[in-house]
Amino acid sequence: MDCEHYEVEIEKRAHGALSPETSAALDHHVADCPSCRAFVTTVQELGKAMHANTTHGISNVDWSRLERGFSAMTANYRQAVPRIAVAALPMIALITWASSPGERLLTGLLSAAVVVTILVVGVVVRRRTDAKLAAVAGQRAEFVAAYRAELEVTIRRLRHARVYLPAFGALWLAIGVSQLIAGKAAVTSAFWIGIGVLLLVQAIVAYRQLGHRLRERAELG
Amino acid sequence: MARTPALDPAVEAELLAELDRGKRDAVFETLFRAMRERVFAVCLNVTANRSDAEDATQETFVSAYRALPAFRGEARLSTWIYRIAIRAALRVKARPQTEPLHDEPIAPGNPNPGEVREQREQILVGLASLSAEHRIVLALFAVDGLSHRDIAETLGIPEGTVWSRLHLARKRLAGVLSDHRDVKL
Repeated sequence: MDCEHYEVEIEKRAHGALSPETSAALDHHVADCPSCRAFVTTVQELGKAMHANTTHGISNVDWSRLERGFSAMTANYRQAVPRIAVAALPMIALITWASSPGERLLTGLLSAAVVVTILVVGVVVRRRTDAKLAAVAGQRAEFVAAYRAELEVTIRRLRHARVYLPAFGALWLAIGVSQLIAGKAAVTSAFWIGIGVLLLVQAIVAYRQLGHRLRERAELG
Repeated sequence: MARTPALDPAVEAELLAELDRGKRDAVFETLFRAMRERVFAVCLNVTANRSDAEDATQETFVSAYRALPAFRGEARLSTWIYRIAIRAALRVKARPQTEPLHDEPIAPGNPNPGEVREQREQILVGLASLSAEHRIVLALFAVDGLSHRDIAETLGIPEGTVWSRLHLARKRLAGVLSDHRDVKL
């Protein structure tokens, strides 16, 4: 009797891939074949044991640890665009403020240089972070240590931002308001005021982010 | 095990559309939540080590996040993730081995916790003794929602080969485990 063939059919049936007709023929064979009856039990017991092992493994995974790692990675990607926008806006204001074509050209070139520098720095930082994450991704202790180190850097940056963002925001705002009072072009004044408000909003965001990061650091211990 | 799809084809199509709109983070989050347990199951049965499986799961999703913008829907999203998971698990498995975890809790009310733990550890030891090819096919069959067609597509082999490979893998695993008294097979 070709039991090898029936054994494969037993496997197929266990995974719901056998037609009812073939299944009935298989039942006929299994009823008369002690070896195949034993194989049916083996397939069932092995399936149960593997299922129990997998379920137990899943129930013990620390998903929050993985999620923290992914949040750090995605945040790094997400922050690139707002950073460029914040850097570019003051430059646009400077171009608008410039009174002669020569000054506009100079400030335009300066603006382009600053934006390109920010873009390049952003790409370099992102690649460095990616490489760091990839290097430690397979080693849990190292991943947590690297994540903690990144967290310390972020906290330091946010503490600095909490000081300089409101200071610059207030400065741009003051310039804008003073220009408005002095009767300069409303568009230019609006730009300065807009940037001042934007920086103040950024300061609030940085302040809230700092709170989140400090709580995260406390959770990590 | 119940065979329910991890990601409904309609959901996958929606995710691809989101990806085209540049919503990578949202797609990644959905993918992670929908697939994380299945990916872990594959990684656990391929690495035969719980700690390595966690690392491989992490590597899988880091790789997937980076590669998502280049995904053009040539395969199903879930098939694509399983392929990444298998590669990640094999990479982790190839590294110097970490110690298996011994301090895991046993569900309360279990009449014989020592026996249950012993059985789980023997399954992992049995899996570790198989070839990568056999571990992979057993790992994919151990995942909810994967049909033999999905497995054939994931591995890039004919369906007939999937069945014969599964049969050999299961017989070898049963052979290894039958040497251990405590595993009833």
